[in-house]
Amino acid sequence: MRKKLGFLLVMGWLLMACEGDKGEIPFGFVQPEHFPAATYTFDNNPISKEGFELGKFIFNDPLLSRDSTVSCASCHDQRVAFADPQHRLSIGIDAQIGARNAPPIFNLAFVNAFFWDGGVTHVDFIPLNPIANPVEMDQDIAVVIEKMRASALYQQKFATAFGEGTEINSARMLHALSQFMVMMVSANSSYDQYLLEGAALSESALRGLALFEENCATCHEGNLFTDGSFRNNGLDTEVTDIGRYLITEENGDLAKFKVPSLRNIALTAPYMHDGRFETLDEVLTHYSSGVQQSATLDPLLQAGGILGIPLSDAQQSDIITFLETLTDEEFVSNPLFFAP
Amino acid sequence: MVIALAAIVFFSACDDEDEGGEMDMPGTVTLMFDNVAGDADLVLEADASTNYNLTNALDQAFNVDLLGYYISEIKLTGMEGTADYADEVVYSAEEPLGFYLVEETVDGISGHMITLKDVPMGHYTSVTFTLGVSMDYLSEGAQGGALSESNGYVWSWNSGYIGYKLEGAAEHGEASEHHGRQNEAASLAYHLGGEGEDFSNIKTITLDLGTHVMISSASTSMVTITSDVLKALTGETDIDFTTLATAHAPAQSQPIGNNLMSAFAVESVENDAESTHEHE
Repeated sequence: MRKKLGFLLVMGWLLMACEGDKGEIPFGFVQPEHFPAATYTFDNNPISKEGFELGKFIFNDPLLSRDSTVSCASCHDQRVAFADPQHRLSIGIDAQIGARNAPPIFNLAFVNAFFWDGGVTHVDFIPLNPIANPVEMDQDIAVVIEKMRASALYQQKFATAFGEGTEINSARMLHALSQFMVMMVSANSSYDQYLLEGAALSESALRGLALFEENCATCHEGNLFTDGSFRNNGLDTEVTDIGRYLITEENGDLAKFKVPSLRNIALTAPYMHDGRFETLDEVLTHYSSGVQQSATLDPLLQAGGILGIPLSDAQQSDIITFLETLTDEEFVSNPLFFAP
Repeated sequence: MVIALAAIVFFSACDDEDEGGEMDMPGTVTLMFDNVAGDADLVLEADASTNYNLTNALDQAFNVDLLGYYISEIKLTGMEGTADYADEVVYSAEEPLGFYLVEETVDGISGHMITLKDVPMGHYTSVTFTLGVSMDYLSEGAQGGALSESNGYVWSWNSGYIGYKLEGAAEHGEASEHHGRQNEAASLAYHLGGEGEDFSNIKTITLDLGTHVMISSASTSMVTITSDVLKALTGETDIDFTTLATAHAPAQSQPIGNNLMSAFAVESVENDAESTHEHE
């Protein structure tokens, strides 16, 4: 009830904003009331329409890569919640293959650990990773800034976004990209409409929701559908990717990866850090009967000496039906994010 | 532009001195960082040079083609009636304050003259600074100026500033499967930064000033601080180029971080009282 009231208040505020200002909704970040509070440092980088548009332009510009062939959008497609629609492991510069599955992009403003190993801890620093990576864009950020400074178009766009006389520097460039990316909020799936407005879910989805809460929600917790932790979910008996260990250098973190959000999960195949599963059926089968023992296997996946989370075929099917309600059609079709 | 800024600083300094008048004009302390190798000045080589002009504690020949480090959060400890002085620290996407990047290559050194303005009159007995950039500022996101990501001191894979960067080549390098033997030259690259559960490569270093910095009205003092590359590679741990030619991950580079605690020293303090306003 409280949630519904809050929603009505937000709606009321939006309506007032519409009446007051020629039908224009003020541009900016809107905190979904059923999400944890955003942690992005908005005070250091206030959102503006111009900054957002500059960020969108940069996101779609292959200038970021050494030979101007790869842009962020090459591997992050809005139609699939900014995941890579085509590749198990994304293809970077000179047709090189990446090490891990390209993650989707949404709801970045609410978390402080990015990439599968959580090595990056602030949204602003996310782009440094693909730009520098020799198999992705392979370019020194200083060269990106040189290219932008030499461009009359970029000079004009930075002046529009950050004020006349703004020097193009890496901080402003990263701030623009952050403005674009933190605005990517996905909070209006069928499940959200059920949660906030009492919209109907199918019988199967409701059974799936109950099963999910019982069996999956400890890790895929809350309305972001992740507890933000790093876990080994039993893909292999041997370490095939050191995972979180790269960052912490702790043996206990070998082969652990960030628990991903499950929002838009039906759109973001393939699954796992290496994209080894093509379908949600395969994922559920893995958790039900495919979990492998290893030194850092998560305790929750070997409770009571039983590997995995045994689920019948019907239960798995209901959970998948529920996961499909986490798809946010409005987000993936929102013209705000369309390439310029 | 610089003159205009200096003038503004000068006037605002005057404004702050309502009570004592010109007699209490604050002074200026310049910290000059000088890179050395033992008793000698550090002579850097060009990138990929095969002239190995230095020798580590294990008698392994090597050279340096780049030495860079951040100095930040500078403090001067006051004696008796003198309050401690802290350099202003401001993070900003335009021009942060209080972060200084000292960098030397064969082409020269930059950023090594750090000017502390508006240091109140008094005696100062020690200088304290952070070698590197505190994780606290990292959590504020992208920064400009000395902290700019395009300076090459921000990691991409693991958020953090590289606080100390030493690159060069060793005559006899790391044995590896790739090379199969140890008598080949190896690139040296030590990029220090970051923290672990129980350690930090971001070091707080305090140096005794010996001859105290004495600020009389509007005077200028110069403190020369040496940074010794040989000491970075010896001390608590002798760095062996055949086993550790590169270190990037925080835990791996810890031994160098610990050595660095003893690699900086105050070489001289000049209280030349080169003031613009003499009041006896």
